[in-house]
Amino acid sequence: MNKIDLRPQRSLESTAPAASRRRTLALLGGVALAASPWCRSVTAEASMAAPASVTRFAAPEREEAVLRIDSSTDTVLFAPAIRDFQRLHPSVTVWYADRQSLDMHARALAFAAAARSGSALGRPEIAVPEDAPDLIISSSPDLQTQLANDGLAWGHQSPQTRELPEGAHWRREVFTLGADAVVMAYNPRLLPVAQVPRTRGQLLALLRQPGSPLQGRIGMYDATRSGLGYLLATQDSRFDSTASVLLAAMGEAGVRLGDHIEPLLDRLEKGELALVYNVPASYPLARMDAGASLRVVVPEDYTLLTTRVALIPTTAPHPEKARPFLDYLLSPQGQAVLARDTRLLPVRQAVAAARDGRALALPGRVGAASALSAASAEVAPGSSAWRLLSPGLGLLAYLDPLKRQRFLQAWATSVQPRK
Amino acid sequence: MHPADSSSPASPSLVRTLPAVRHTLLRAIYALFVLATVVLFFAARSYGQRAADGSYDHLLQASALSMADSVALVQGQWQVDLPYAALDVLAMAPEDRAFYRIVGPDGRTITGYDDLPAPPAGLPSDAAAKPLFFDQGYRGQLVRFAMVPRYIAGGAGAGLVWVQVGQTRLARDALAADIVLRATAAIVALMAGVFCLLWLGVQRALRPLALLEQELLARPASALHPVTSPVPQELAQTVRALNGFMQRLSVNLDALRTFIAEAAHQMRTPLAALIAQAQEGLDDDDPAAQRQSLQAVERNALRLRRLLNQLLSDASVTHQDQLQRFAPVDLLVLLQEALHDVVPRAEPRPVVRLWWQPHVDAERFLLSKNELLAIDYQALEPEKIPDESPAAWMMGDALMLREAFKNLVDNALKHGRPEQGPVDVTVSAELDAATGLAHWCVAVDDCGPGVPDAEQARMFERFARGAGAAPGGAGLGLAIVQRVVLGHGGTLQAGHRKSEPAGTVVGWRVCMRLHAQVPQETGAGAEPASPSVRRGIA
Repeated sequence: MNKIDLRPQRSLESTAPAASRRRTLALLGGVALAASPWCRSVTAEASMAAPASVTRFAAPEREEAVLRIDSSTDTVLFAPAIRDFQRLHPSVTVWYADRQSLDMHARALAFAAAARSGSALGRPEIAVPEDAPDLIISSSPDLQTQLANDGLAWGHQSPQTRELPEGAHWRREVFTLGADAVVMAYNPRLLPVAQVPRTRGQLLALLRQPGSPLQGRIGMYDATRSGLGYLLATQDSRFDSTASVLLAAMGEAGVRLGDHIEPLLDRLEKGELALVYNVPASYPLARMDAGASLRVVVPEDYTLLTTRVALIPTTAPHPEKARPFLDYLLSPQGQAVLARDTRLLPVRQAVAAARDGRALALPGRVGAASALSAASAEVAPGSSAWRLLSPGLGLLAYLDPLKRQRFLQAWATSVQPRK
Repeated sequence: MHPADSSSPASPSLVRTLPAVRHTLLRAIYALFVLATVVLFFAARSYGQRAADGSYDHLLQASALSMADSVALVQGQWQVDLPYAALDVLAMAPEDRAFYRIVGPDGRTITGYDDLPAPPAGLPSDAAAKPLFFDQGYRGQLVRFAMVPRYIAGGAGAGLVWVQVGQTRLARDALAADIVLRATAAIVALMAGVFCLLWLGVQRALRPLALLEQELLARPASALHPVTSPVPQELAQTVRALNGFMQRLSVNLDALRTFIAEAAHQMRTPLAALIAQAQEGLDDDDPAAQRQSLQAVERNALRLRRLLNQLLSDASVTHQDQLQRFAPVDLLVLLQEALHDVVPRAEPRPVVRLWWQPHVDAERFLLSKNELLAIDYQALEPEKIPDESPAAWMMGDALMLREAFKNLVDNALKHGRPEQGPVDVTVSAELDAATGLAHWCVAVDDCGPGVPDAEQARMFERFARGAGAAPGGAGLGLAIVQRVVLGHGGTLQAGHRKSEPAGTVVGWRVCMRLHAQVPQETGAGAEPASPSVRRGIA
């Protein structure tokens, strides 16, 4: 398979100008309640944000149907799943657009608004542009939940979705395709294995100790500019009452913030950073498979499991084409392909682990060294340390604009290095 | 009887049937159960709705309250730190969408969904603010909303803030449906169980009837002994009645057998005598002796005729007894007809007098002497004429009564020595002091030797004959009288005749007491009794 051809024509650092990204991210507050009239006009311009790389996977046989996918996962990672799907459905051409999750969300809201005004005019067919997606796959379960809560997602009932466990879907409208353990990635050349923190408490102690190897060499998401970063920060504050203390310690240590994970990992590989906090494991694992000298450590106090979630928007031109693809992604075959190529934990395993506190094996070809055990040997089995961020109402709380504003103010205040 | 007949009872299909008790009962109870189930279903549905709404309303309210706690006014700026739990608690309904909105005192949305519907009745004034619950359509679905007021102080712009939280109805409807389903399933199961038990109970209760039926079917025709198989209390009366009926039938059959045997025996004697006399007459050459034999033949034939008449009368009375066709009859008319039939025309004619006494202490009127179809008032003393044509009405069977009177008078003429004095028949009215019922007393007095006290009761049995009875009776007459009186619910008394001149004559008196009853309509159409058809051999 020639993956190189499929690599989108952009580097791993986002090509979007910083100004446009900032504008997009500033919209997030508005996005949260895009249903409200006072922010509809703002979201409309979000659909013109960051251009996407769109890839066409031609149907192996005579084309009879077209399926459009908006996804926040790199095309190169998702291509095997699409090819495998086309083996089963050879007459389907797939258009795969790699977009930011915030961008996808804003587009979905804009299309819905357009469809409403179009149907008000009696001409719904002209309202939605032809590149409107039939399926949205996003790494922001909170935004996807909000779309469904606002009534902008089709339900999907099939044998495949009916047997999904509780927590793997919400209302059978938002489906978890897979989970990604949130870990700490470190550079073993800069951080001896003996010193590697296994819990957030140890990380705090390591940050505070004089002459810390992390001083000026720790990185993490900028919660004010990254959707996933914001989500992880809010969940940390939920599960860890000392989260603000840790933030303050990072601020003291001169934390480097990034709005995307790849640049942070680049700097980690180069040795500019010794440790990156709150990294979705699939990124460093992919680099390790490619031979990068990185290591990951799974926090033992608790480990967030972020998710990739899919939904069929009500503005989909061909929702009936999205259903078989969704069923394929949730089938054992599709789950295996996703685990191998995108290094997502299969959804049923993740749900079971979060429920029963079982050990999880990191996906990919890392070998036995990468076995993830959230609970150390002393912790009794059943006391789960996995925190699965499955789609659900709870995630909507932090999308409230006032709450978001407050949280980000507090967050920024905490990480502000005190001079 | 043919032996084959015992196994197939005669035309059992002619029994008139009502609907089966079992079916009627079960159908009624089934209808009741269905009705009860429907009623209970609706009760359970309303209860389930209320219960589900109640519990989920508490969730909504809790969510709204926790949101209200997070609202603050800081330096004129509204601040809301939405609790994670406020929405997480709503996730208890895992499939339901949720919406919230926080409205400031100026009516503008502080945060949340700006387009949530207002309560249908409008928001209450600040003074009367208390939590509200209502259903409204929103974004294509019916949504249950809770609104909780909260007064926020904090300088300018302070006032009443409303927190509105809504949730779609999937979970509560599912809970309500679940409650209804479980309740209904329980009700239906219970009803079905009860119905089955009832059905079994009815089956069990009716099984003795089937056993009874089998027992009766299995019997030979002649077996009239009481039912032996045990029956439940409810059937005891029926079975007792059946046993009594069979006992009476058996007694009747026995009596009939005895009667036939006795009658055959009674007929044989005069017939044998008749044949013997006739043969004797044939053997005799002497005309005088032949004439004597002929006279003896005639005597025996006459006796045979009387016997036959009595037997026929008895049979007809027996037959009539089973029919019991009662109609208003006038005893006086019947008595006159009886006398006309019984009193012989040939000389020496016995004197038979019919007396009428309207009440106990009234004077007796002589209605007729010997036999009169029409009362010859001219033949009587003028002052003895009753002021109106008398009648003694009662409900009865004319034929049976007439036969009884005939037999009584006949008996008095046979055994009461009419040559010594007249036979008096008296109809008098009496009032029973105990019951207040009026009844007629028909007394027949003769001047015969009477009956000793020890034999009085026996006199009315069939084929029983008094010690002083004249020869040539079968003992049937008085038995017929008794049967008729019993059939009419009357009583029969026998005793010594009141001596007319004090203590001179010893006679026998038989008195029939019969219930008096005046017919309802005494028009021309109310024939008291049809003149009887003469029976017997003339």
